[in-house]
Amino acid sequence: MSKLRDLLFRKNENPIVLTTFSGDYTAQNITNMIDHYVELLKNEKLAGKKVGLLIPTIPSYLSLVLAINQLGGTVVPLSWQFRKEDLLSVLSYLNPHIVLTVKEFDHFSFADVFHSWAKDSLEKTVIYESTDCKEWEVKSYGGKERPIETERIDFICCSSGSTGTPKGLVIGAETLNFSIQILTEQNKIQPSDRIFLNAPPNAVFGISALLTGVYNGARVVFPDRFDFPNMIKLMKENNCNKLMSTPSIFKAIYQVAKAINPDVVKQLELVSLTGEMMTEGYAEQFDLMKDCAFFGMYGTSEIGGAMFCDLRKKIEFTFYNGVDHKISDNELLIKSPSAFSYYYLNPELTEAMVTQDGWIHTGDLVQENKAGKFEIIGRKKDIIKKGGQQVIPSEIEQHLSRHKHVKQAVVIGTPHPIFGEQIVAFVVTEGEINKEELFYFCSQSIARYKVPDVIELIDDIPVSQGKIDKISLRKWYEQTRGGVKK
Amino acid sequence: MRFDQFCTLISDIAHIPPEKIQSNSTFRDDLGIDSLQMVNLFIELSEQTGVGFDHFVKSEDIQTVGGVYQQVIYKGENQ
Repeated sequence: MSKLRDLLFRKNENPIVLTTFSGDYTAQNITNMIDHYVELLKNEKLAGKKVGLLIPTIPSYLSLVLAINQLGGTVVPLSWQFRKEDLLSVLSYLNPHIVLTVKEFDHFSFADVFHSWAKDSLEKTVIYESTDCKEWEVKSYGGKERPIETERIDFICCSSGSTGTPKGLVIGAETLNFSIQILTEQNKIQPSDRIFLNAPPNAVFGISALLTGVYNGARVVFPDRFDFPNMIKLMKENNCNKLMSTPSIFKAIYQVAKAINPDVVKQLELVSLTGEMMTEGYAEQFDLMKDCAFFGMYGTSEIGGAMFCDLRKKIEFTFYNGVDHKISDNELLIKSPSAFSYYYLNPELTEAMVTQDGWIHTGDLVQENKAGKFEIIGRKKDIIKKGGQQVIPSEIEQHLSRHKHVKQAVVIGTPHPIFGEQIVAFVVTEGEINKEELFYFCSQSIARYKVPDVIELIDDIPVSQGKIDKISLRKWYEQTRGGVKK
Repeated sequence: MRFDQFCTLISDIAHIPPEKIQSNSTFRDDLGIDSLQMVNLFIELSEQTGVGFDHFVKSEDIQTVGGVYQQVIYKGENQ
C-alpha cells in the first residue's frame, strides 16, 4: 500500500502548502516535520498499533498523521472539542496503544484524562504530551498488551453512535486518494489557489480537504482557532479565492466579513459547502457575492464525497464520476471507491449500513427528477446537523438521563438561523431541578456543540403506537416557540 | 441597560449560570462560548438591544463581557 506521503509530495517544487495563525509552511517544512516525528516514533513499532492524536496545531497534526501512516500505524484523530465523558467513551471503544496530545487546550487538561484512562485500563499504553508539539514528555504504563490489528488500517475516524457508543469509520489511504481526486475536480483546484478551509481536521472531510491542497501544491489557509475576526484577517492577508466549510460557518463568516472587511468575501470565486442540509436560495442571501460559484457537496464523511449541486440553482444533485448509486424504497444507496470500509469493531452496524456487495445505506430519501438529477426529500436517520457537526439525539438523551432528577429525555433537531439546526431537549423531571442546572450539567461533561440549545421541561413524553412521538414534539415546538428560538 | 440586566440577557441566550458572568469574564475561556456561538450571541444581542451586529464585531474588545457591554452603552448614548 502506498504511503500518503509519497502520494502528496511527489513534485520537486516547494510551494507554501499551509498557512495558519502561526505562519506559513512549505512542502519542505512539512516533510521536515514528518521526518522529525518519524524519528520520534520509530522505536514504537507502530505496525498494527492505533495512535490517538489530539493535536490542535494543524502543521504538527498534518505531519504526525503522515508520519504515523509512513510507519504503518493507524491514525485515530481525536477532537479537541471533546470533554471528559465523550473522550473517555471514545478511548474505551478504540483502545489506542499510543496517544500524542497537547497538555491542555481551551482550559481543559486533556493530558490528565489520558493519564487517568491509561492508568485505570491496566493495559500497556504510551502517552506523549507536549505544550508546543516540539518537546515531548513520554510516560509508559505497564500491564496487559493491547491487541494488535492483524490487517492494515490507515485511519479510524470517530463520531457519535446512536447507541451512545461511538462509531469508528475505517478508512484506507486509497479511499482518501479518491476523495482527493473528487475534491480537486469539484473545486477546480490549481496550484495558484488559496483555499480557506474551516472544517474539523479530525473528521474525514477535514483530513481529505487538507490533503487535497497539499496534493495540488495549492495553499490551504486553515485557521487553527475558531475566532471569526481573526479568521477574516487571515483570509484578507492571504487573498483567499476559494473556500470550503459548512453552510452555517460560512454564513457566520459572511456576516462578520460584511461588518469588518467586505472585500474578503467579494474576492471569493468558489465556495464549496458540506455537512448540513441546504435550502433553495441559500446562495442568494450573500448579496456581495453575485459572481461567486456556490456548490453543495453530499456524502463527505462516510462516502468521502458522492454528489454535488449548484447552489445558485435548484437543489438537485449530480453524482461524481466513479460513484455508483441505486434507489431502494426511496432510500439512496451508494457504492464508491472513496467510501469507508466498515465500522470498527461493530459488525452489526456494518451489516445494517453496508450490504454484502458494498452498497452503503445513506439513510437519505431521494427522488430522481426528469433531468436525471437527485433531490433529497427526507431523512431516515435520526441525526442533527449543527454547525457542521453531527449530533446523535440518543447520545444526548442518554446523557441527560444520567442526571439523578431526570426521568426521561427526548431530543430533536429544529431549524436555527446560525447553526443550521439546533438541539431541543424535552425533559421529564422528578424532584427539584431547573433548566439551568441541566444546561450546566451537560456543559461540564460533553462537547459544547452537543449541549442542548433549548431545554423544555414537560410532564409527559407523547407516545404514538408505543413509540415516542417526535413528530408531535416538533409540531408543538414549532407552534409554541416559533420553531427557531426559545 | 444596566450591567446586571445585560448579564441576565447573556445568561438567557447562552445558558450560563448568571453568577459565572463577570465584567472581566472572557467568552471563550471563562464562559466556554465558541466563535459560532459568539456570532449567534451577537445576533441575539443585536435584536434585543437595538445595537447593530456590526458594532459588536467591530468593537476593540469583544473577548470580554465588559468589552461588549461598553458597545451597548456607547451605542445607547449615541443613538
